[in-house]
Amino acid sequence: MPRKTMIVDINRCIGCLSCVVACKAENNVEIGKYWTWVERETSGVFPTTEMYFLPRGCFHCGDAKNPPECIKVCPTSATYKRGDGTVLINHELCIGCGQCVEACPYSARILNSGANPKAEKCTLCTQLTDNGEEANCVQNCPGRARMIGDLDNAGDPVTIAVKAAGDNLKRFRQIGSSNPNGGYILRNLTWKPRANNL
Amino acid sequence: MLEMNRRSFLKAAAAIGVATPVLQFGGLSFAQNSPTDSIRKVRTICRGCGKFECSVWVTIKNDRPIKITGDKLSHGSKGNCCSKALASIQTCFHPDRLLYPMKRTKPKGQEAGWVRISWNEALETAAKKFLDIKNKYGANSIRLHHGASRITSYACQMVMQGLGSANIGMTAGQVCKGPRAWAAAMTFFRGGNYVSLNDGVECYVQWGGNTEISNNYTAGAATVDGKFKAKKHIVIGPRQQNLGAQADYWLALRPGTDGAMAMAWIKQIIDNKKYDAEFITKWSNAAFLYSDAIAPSGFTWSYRQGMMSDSGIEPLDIKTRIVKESDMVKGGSSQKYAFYDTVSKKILFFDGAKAEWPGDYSKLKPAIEGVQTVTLADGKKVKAVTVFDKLKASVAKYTPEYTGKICSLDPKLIKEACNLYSSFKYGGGIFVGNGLEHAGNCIQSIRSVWLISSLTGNIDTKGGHRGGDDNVDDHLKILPYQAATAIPDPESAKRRECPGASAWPLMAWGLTMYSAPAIGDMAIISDMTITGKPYPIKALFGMTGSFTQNANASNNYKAYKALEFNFTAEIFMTPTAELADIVVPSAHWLENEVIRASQGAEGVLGAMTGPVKFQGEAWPDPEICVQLLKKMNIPFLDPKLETNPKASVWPNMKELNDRSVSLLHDRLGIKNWNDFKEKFQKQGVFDYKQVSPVEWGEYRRYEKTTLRNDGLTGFPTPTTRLELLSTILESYHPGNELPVYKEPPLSEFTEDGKKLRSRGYDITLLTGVRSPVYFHSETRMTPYCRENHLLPRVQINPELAAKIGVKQGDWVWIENHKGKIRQTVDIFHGIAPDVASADHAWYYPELPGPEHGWHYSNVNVLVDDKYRDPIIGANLLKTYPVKIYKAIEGAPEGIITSVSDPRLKRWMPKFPAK
Amino acid sequence: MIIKWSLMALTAGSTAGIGLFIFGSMNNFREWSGKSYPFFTGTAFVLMLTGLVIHIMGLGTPSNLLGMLSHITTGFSMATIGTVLLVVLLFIIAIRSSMGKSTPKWMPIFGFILSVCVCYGLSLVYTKASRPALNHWFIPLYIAAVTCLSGSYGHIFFRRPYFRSGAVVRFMFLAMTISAVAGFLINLKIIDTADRYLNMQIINSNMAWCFYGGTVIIGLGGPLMAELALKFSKRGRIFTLAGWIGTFIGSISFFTIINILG
Repeated sequence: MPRKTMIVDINRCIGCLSCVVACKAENNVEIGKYWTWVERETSGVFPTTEMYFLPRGCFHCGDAKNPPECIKVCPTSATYKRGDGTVLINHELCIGCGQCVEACPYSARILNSGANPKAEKCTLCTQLTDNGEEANCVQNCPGRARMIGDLDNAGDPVTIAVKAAGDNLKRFRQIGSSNPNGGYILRNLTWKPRANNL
Repeated sequence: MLEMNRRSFLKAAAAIGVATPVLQFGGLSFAQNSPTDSIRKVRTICRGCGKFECSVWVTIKNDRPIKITGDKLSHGSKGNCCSKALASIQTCFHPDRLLYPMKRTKPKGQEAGWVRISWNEALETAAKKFLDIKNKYGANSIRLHHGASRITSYACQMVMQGLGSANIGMTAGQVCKGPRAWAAAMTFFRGGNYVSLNDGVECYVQWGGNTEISNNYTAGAATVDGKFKAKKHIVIGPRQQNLGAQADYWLALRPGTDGAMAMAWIKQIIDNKKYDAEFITKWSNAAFLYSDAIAPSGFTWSYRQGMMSDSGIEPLDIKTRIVKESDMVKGGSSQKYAFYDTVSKKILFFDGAKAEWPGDYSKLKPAIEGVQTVTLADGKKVKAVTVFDKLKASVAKYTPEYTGKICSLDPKLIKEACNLYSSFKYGGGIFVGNGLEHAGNCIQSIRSVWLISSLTGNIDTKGGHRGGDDNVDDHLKILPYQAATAIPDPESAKRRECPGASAWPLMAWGLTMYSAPAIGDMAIISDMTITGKPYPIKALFGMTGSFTQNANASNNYKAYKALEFNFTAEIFMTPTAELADIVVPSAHWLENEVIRASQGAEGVLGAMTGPVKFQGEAWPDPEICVQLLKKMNIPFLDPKLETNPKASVWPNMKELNDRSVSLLHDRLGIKNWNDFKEKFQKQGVFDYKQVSPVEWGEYRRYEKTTLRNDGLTGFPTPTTRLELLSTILESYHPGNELPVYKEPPLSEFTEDGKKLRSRGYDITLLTGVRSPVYFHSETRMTPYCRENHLLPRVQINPELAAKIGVKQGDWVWIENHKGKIRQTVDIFHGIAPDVASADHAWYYPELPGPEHGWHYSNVNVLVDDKYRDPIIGANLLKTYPVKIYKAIEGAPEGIITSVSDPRLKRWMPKFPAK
Repeated sequence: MIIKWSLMALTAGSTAGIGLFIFGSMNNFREWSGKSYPFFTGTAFVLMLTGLVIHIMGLGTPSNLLGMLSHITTGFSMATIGTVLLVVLLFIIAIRSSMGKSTPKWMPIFGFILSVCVCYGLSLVYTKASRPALNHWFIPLYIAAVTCLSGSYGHIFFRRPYFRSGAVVRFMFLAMTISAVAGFLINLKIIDTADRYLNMQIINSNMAWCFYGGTVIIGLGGPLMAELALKFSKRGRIFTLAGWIGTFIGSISFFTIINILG
């Protein structure tokens, strides 16, 4: 069962926000709303402080058998998991009720503010990746920190990187039926789960 | 992509029968384009920032740019495409962009009442005004304001040269790149400040800069790549930096103490004998004997800096206490320097005029240590020590423990980091950023860092200080924005009339270095405008400069208002443009067609290929300059390229471009500009080092004659050796020839790190940390940039935040003796509790003209133009003692404080109707 | 989080309407005498229809209702479709009673089942794993309690109490409401420390008045006052109205707060 998702090598992330703008430019995301965004984690007492940047977005949780919360609460089945594991939203079915936006434990979804609002989120740039191109955020990441791959394909370079990372692979914890596939590779620094798990 | 709304897109997509069900709206899947759409990708060079020439792809759909992505083939930028580049379509097609020449109808200081005029009227009025003012007050009364400009601005220097004004170099060079270039020129070679990270640096030392965000000399992508290829990574700077968080060592020194740190490293390296003895003995002046007992004497050094014509020579009177033949023998040469040879056990002379050691060097063994007795010409015997020993003595005090006290740092860290760097045979050059240039006494602190690289031999080695394209002699001749060459360089006497030349004796010499280090003092010229002394400044030619971005912005505002005539080219109606009499539209980088060479050592040569047609009546900057010169009847001479003096017809932009590649014809197998463009389009950027293999491709060029342009080996310094002891500084700033550490001018600490009694300003303010979405004051009106950095931020430690009772996002006043500004709090662990770091360059395009709220949050309101580096006159921009307290008033009235503000949406691009 | 006013309208309208309907039809599980209760069915019908119309307007087009049939097990679909069916059912009952026809027994029974479904659906809508602070028993309890409480007040207001021990039953419902709100507060402030960020919003935000004023003072205080009045005054009908309105306002402000938090 393919599980296509995004893994970010945080050691290579420099918080330059290129991915944020790349995503907005490619996907025409509304001003003030984000499919992907970058958080800064700092801690410690100066000068023994630690810092890393956390690019956020949809983790494309679960698999076909255990769909994530967003799929479970969608009243019209507009949110669905594609064969390759990507969680997508069919805008013809979406009625803009916002249930999925509330249900996502990782705040990955937004409701656009059109006349008929629709839920939106990271699509892993299927319009590009289906045509053999890299997702816009992946393509324009100066640190080459972002990667998209299928975690159930042992030969996928991303799966190999994840395997190699071992304990350095960090994920947000499962909440409800949302079990993140997407995650982070963090070496040498302390992973700090956020207050509300996040 | 940007203008299409979702509904219309879905309908369009449905109409052309997309195979897959219509999913969530995706931008511009090629599958979703209709077969009748024409889609092409054009390679060009980005100028979203002014710092590195990143090659990018611009996707054009039906004549409209829809997407910008990085070009992975570029060896320099490695596919870098930052947020500013990605948002550039929004900037280019911004609804508020300045598209037509305008003139003001109301007095300065109020709403200008702009009225659209024709280009012809704009240029004719300007030409007449400039010539009138020249006749009335003299040419010097016309000044330049040389800003970042969209295709770099060097063409505008030519307008001043044409008018005969001394104010040709009004750039930010005095505080940016100038000090690094000066210190490098005084130590090894002009441009030697540049290190190529792509060369492969083994130990990557980032000192007072973060190129991963600033793109300074090296693109962000190349910085991350270089960091992970390097074996070790050391970061020196008071703030925890973005990539710096991943470093092996972070030396979080107290702001402004970099000089002391550098001297500690020098001492460590010398004490541990980690210096490259072979290199410094032969190629530096380490072995030269120096005696305090003799009077300084010397010769006049008339060296032509690479890019200048002969009129560009600025002779320097070199007076040094290095023992010369003339000191020891009557009638001896003043360019022969004494050294002690341990083989023959005699004092011999190195010939600086010929750059030769006496006889066969392999049979010599010059001593770099030890005291010698020298018999002078008058028979007196004096003690002389080697320059190397002098250097050793100058840093003797700076043990890790002593330095640790000055820098408020664990001495162990200093020791370990320095030992780590010097444990590599050739660890690589050291990357120095603005941090050192802005903290007072910058020439000293930067030169001390260059001495670290020099002692360890990392000069012109792989990964070492490699210099930039300006070392390639033909550089200026190639580039059309160097159309400056169309008019002869000013004479030395003229250069000495530039503002600041009398305050800082080396200023005129600095002007011969060209590029941004060609400077004039931006603060003094404001004073001159107001007082009229020593000569009046009446008119200004501005090329996308910004008065808010220079020290003492409040004074500049007064000066700009007082100008009799101001002709400014801009892209947006900035607070500076609002003070112009005539403002004309500059072209955006997406529209321009011009050759590009990256500054710095990565050696990217490419082209802007103008993928988008000019919007409105925007013109490229050189075109504006050329047309203005034509209107003023200033002849085109071009002494460098044309032998025929009659060829006095000013070239148009296309001809300028053709001329710009004329020296590359044979090297690249091209015939004209179009060939060059096509070749670039096909194969991507050129590696300048391969294009000019002899001038730049080789390493250790000092062993040959390539670093100098007079056929000598060695370095382009007065002694032809790498100068551990700078004879230029010894001549013009005695006491500064060797490293000296001084606290920044307003520091509340003594030179050995003891806190003085506070004057009420307890927090040391850093300014100017780069935001990834902005290049200085640019793109504050670009929605994708602004929403990601909505408000000015001052970073403070949680401890300080608790002390002054503020939360994340609260507005605070930052106050010093000059004034106060408002910014929002960003609580950040990676900064000391008594240090704060404030954003620079803020103004609010959403607020009405003429002020656009430039003084609300602009950190230059706090910058005092009194405090200068004693050598280059660089303004103190960082390390201001300030106090910070909660602003009960909150945000300045009327500014955008929320990402849902409708004004941000109004700023979305407007594409012209087909 | 943006407040979804349309969903709020559905919640408030449906809970209040269902309450009236259930209490109105309480005696009709045995036998329905249509003429007696036009106000019950009428008011319940108007409340639910208003909520439903606002809800559907908030969603765009009525055709969106069809889409919801495709995933009927979600709380949102269940609440919406259930309300639609209930409104239709009430309409039929109201028409029939106005025509003097009696109502078949299956109708109130079917209506009762639908009511339970709608309340269950609404509970699902508001309890989400993504918001641990809200993912608790107090949500279904509050919905059930508010439904019953408003129903019982309406019942007294429109007609004399059906149950002899009406006050005791009402008091039980009031106790349920109070414990749901208390549970909510305790959970927010004490138990669920992981959700600090959300908790801060209710304690410190500028919407705190909405919770303390609306839900606590009006929503709980109103019914309490009504109970006292009913105890000591024989002509307490007006107080039952106050209790009913208080409960209604309380539920609106409670769901607003949950919306803000969620």
